[in-house]
Amino acid sequence: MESEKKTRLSEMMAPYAMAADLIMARVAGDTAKFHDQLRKAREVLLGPLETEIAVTPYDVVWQDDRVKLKHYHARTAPLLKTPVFIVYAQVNRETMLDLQPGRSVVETFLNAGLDIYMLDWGYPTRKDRYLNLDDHVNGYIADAVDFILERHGLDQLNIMAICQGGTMSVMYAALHPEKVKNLVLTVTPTNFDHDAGLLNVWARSLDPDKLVASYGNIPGDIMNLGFLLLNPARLMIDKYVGFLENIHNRDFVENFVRMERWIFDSPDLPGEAFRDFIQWMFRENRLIKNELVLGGKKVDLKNITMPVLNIYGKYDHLVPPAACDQLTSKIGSTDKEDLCLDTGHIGIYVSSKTQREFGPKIIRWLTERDDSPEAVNTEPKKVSKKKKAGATAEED
Amino acid sequence: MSEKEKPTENARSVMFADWVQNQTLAWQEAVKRTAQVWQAPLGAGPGSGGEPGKQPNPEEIGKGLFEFFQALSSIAGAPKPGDIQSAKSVPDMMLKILQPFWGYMIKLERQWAEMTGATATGQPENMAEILKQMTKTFYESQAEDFRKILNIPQLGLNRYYQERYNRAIEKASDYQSALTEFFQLLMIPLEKAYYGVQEEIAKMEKEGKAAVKDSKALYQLWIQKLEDHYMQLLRSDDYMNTLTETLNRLHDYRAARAEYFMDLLQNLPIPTNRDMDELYRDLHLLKKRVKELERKARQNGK
Repeated sequence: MESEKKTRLSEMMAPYAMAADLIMARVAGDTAKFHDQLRKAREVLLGPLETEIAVTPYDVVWQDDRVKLKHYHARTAPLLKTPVFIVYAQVNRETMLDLQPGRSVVETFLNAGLDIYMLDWGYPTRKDRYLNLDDHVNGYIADAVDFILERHGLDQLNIMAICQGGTMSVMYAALHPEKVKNLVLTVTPTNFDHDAGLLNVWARSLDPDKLVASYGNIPGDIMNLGFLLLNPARLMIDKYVGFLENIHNRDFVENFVRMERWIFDSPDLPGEAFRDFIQWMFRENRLIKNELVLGGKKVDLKNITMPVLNIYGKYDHLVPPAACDQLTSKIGSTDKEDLCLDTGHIGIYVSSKTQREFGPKIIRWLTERDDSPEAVNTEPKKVSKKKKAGATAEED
Repeated sequence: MSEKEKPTENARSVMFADWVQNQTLAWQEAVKRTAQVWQAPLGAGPGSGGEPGKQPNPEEIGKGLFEFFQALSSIAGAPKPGDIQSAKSVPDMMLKILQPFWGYMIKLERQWAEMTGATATGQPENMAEILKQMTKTFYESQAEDFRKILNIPQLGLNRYYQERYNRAIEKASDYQSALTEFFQLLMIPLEKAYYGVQEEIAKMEKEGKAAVKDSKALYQLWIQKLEDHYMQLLRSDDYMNTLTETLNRLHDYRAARAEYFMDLLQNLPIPTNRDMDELYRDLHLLKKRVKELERKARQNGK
């Protein structure tokens, strides 16, 4: 009887034993080859590794609280009259757009001659817990836009926005359309009434009040855990099996570590802004229904009359096409374009295939909608603004 | 109780009584031995206050312990203090005190027996599910009695502090229970993937196809199955309910813990989160007002 129990117990443990066996077999494979790989892996891991991210030089030209505005150093003669203001999401960091030389959207834009400003949301602390969605859209984004416009003596600029930064930029463009010349949205969720992605299903069932009451700001680690749980098999097992298989390959290791550094560099989310976003977007879908009010003003999508390019990924598991493809039918613009690429949420910015497609498409689209290059006056004026800062990337 | 259950209950009572008897004898023996060890230093030690040469009697120690537990019981307001007071001997008292613990053990043992009993059937058992059930039983049983003790009305000057402390303990236990259940739910796809791979191989063999022998191909088959089962789980109501429950318990625990910490911090020259949040809110509102005034001033200046 005892032996039967033991046998049964070992049978029940078999799934876990098999998981370990399969992973080991996959990693180790041929023993001789494995030993050779281990030797090389030792050299790679103990040797110098280049894993820095966001190395393209920039100046911090404006700062309000923790929020900074980066201005990248130009590399060639200016292509466009209008500078491009990039608004990233508050989830993770804008460094993803400049992951490494050769895989950098920022680099692609600079090489083409675009004048790039990028908002860095920084790391919210408990002090920031009361900052709401309005403070971010009509506060930080609006102030940064005003600063850039004043600096260049312009009335309008181009906005390129990413993910949740895109959602906030849509709100900004609807509230201040006169300041936006062209709007480029990438993997931007604007419709939240769908079950295409798990994130949507989960976020709708969240009680934001309880989370905000418990944490003040929502910890980045909790957000990251949520993202990992979207696909545990791939993101928590297969990914690292792949890493172990290629641990002898220096380039692979460097790229992998860079990506890990970016993924787990997760600032907390300001509590009130999180509450507003979950409640008004995920639960009530106010934006696409034209029911959102920010700072006492209705966010009317019909006010968006500037040209809009809306790019999203066919295989995006975080912001699926269903979250993106309704916007252009709701806005007032006549010059608008949806572009669905064969890629995922992150791949759209970092995969070598989309590097050839994504950046150049935006550059072409903006160039076609910019005034003649002869009129270019990109030399920024000195703006006497109290919050102007002057740190460089190296100092920052 | 149904007629069928009575014999089982009787048998269990007999087992229980035997076990308590054994436990009591063991305790008495331990008390005797402890007394013997203490005897010399207590009796002979200078300034001990005891009469030199007089050794504590094991029965006296037992009586002392009984009085101690009786006092503890009256303070703690245990469910049936009368039962304890009516206990005239150490074995009776031990029996009363250890009853809840014994209850958990019986439940766990029963589940374990059911689990191992099923082995004879040859049916594949779900380890994650069994562990989930056992953990649930443990926490629920524990919570049942534990909660009663933690919710005993507190008295006196410290009552509110004690209540907040008890609440933090209770909520920590609830959260731990929910978290364990959540993680056990996440184990289920691992088991399903295992059986899925086995079925797939059997199917291939049945169809006359060559079985997957290459470890890489087998790994790919397994990881694909695992991903599919996770996708099913993560969209299920069971997962959503467990996730929601875990987050709610987390909230309750953190709120209770914060209350307790604030009590502690009040006695130290350290501002609490509540103090700081009030300050931050004021600062936030003031900054908004200043910004608005700056904007108006700029507009008026133009």
